[in-house]
Amino acid sequence: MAERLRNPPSRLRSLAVPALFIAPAGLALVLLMAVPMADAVALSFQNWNGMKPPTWVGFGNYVRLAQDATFFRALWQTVYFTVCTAVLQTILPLLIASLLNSGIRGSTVFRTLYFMPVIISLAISGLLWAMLFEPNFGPVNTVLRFVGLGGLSQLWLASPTTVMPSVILVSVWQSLGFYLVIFFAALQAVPKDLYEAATIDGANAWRRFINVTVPTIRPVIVIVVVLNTINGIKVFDQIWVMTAGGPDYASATLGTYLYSIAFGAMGASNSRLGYAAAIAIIILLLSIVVSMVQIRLGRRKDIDSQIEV
Amino acid sequence: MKKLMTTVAAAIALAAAPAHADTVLHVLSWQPAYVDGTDYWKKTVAGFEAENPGVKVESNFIAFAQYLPSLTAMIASDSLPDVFNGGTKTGELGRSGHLVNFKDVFDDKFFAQFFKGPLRQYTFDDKPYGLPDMAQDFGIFANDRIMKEVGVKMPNTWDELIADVPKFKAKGYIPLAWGNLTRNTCPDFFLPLIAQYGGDVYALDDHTKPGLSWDSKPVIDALGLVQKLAKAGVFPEGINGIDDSQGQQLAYQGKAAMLFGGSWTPGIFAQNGTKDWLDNYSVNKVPALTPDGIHYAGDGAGEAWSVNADSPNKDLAVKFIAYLYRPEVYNWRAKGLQSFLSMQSAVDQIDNPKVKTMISWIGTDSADPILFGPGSWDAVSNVCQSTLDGSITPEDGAKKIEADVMAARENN
Repeated sequence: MAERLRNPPSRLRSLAVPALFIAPAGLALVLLMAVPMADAVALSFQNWNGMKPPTWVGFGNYVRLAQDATFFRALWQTVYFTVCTAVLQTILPLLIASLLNSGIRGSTVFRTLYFMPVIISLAISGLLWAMLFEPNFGPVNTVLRFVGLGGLSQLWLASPTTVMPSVILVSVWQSLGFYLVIFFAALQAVPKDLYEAATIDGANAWRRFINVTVPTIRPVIVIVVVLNTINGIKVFDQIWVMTAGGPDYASATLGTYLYSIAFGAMGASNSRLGYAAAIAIIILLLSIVVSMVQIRLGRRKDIDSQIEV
Repeated sequence: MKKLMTTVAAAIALAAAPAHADTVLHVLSWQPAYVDGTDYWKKTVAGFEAENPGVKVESNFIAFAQYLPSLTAMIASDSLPDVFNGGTKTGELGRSGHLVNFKDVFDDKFFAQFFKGPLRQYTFDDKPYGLPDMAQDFGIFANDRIMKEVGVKMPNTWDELIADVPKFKAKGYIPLAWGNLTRNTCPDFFLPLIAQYGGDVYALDDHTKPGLSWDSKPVIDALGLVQKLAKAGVFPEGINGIDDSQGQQLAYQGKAAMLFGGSWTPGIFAQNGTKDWLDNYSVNKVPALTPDGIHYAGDGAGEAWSVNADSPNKDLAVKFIAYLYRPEVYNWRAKGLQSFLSMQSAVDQIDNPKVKTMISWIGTDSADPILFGPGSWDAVSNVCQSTLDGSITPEDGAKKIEADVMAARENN
């Protein structure tokens, strides 16, 4: 035994050094992510306002969630936000990246302009757009009235009908440049001879896009869709800054609802930390399940297309 | 070898230790005036440290928007500072034994120094768990230039305000601006109206009086008035999508004739207001129900100092509080900040005539504008928002407040 310890087998030796390098980051991950995550799971089975000792309620928080109309409203609005942003923030950047990749003049300038909103913090962009959308004298309504389209002016963030579309617009504006850059890089890697072959076969620009571009960069599309989905499910800061989930929970998402349950409304008491933890676990499970489904669907298409070849 | 290593390690540890360890008193506030570097606070802290050698006061600031969530996290992790603003958590913290009951450490003569309303704000079950640092009330700031242009005087009653709306609109002005995006301002506006209709907001917040509930006539009437004002066009369109600073901008930019706000807002005007606003604004009480009715400006305190009862420096913290409220020390605050006061002796330190006017309302037009009961603020602010946009009737709104308050108390 001592001999084995003094001279470990070569396999163990070969693992020891990499393990030593990974250990600090692994320890940080365990301490900063795994432990709090386990804590949150445990908290989701308890009732706790932060002041008195927590009490064990088993699945009580999850049962209450199943009966919470506001939770389901926030869930529905999260799905709505996620589907809209995932679709728009995948299709639009892909189309624009294709256009920029076609060799138009000023492509670099356009890419830079599209990317600029990405570098603004979500909170700042939320504040800026809240000013733009101000119903009485904000620039959006002012311009609409100035050009004779006053009939199109809206309450924007103040109306339950227009608040979610407004928030989605801001999200698309903010994120488009990021995904555009990803798609642009992917398009650069598509072999030119594939396009040449398609052109020879009589394919127009649209057919080349559908039959060459999209299948070739499918893995990147899957990644973008997964990223968009995860970001949509956990959306919080931009919406909180613009609307605090209002008016009347019309823009509440799982993230904003979780926050208001954990800390109360602005200036309020009544923290329900256990209940908020239960919502957080639901968000985590949703993100995992939806991401896994999307990745599997993306892989299956790859396998199918390889089998066809 | 092992002995040598241990001796070296001990020597290094001894060398690294300070010559004498100061006791650090941790103070936390959301007021930017109470941070290292501001004149008033620098002087205050230096004075206390000079009287207490070996003590260092560490001042920490968290902006208001993040303050209560941060405080919630501190409460949950048992890491409250020694002295802090408890905010709307004061009642719950006090009742659960986390705060010093100041009646145990100060006598009646000490408490007699304060304005009654602000002190009452942070007293629960006859135990003051917070000492008000400053008072607050609410009023209407009118742009006298616009009022003259429109040809109206400051309305004395709500009906007069509603009757004047067409005159404001004809000239393209919003009659009364404010914003409710964060759901904080509507309760400030609505709660004193309950007092105008004869209700007792303190009793509603305590929710212990038999037969008293939020589903009662004064609450329904007050919600009804808020909705009536909104429907009449008194407030900006889309008020639930406008935040406080945007509401103030409507006034600064001359788009609104009047602005609803608290007594702390003149300080904000001084930093952000336009010349037109600063030259022309006047302070006025909110309208009353009847020509000779009480205007109920609110008579509370936005912030109060509390002492962590579990702190190892509890006695030192109480000593610091006693020092802060020494008349000569409090006068530095009054003189330096020119803001609202919780102590009567400091009134002469205020030079700003508008602040002095609002101070004169304290004690005569009282109403409780802050709720401390579990779930109360959430319940009221949510229904208030729905009332403004007409998505709930006053009767259903009052029922919902009561139901939400009861549900929160059961879950607490």
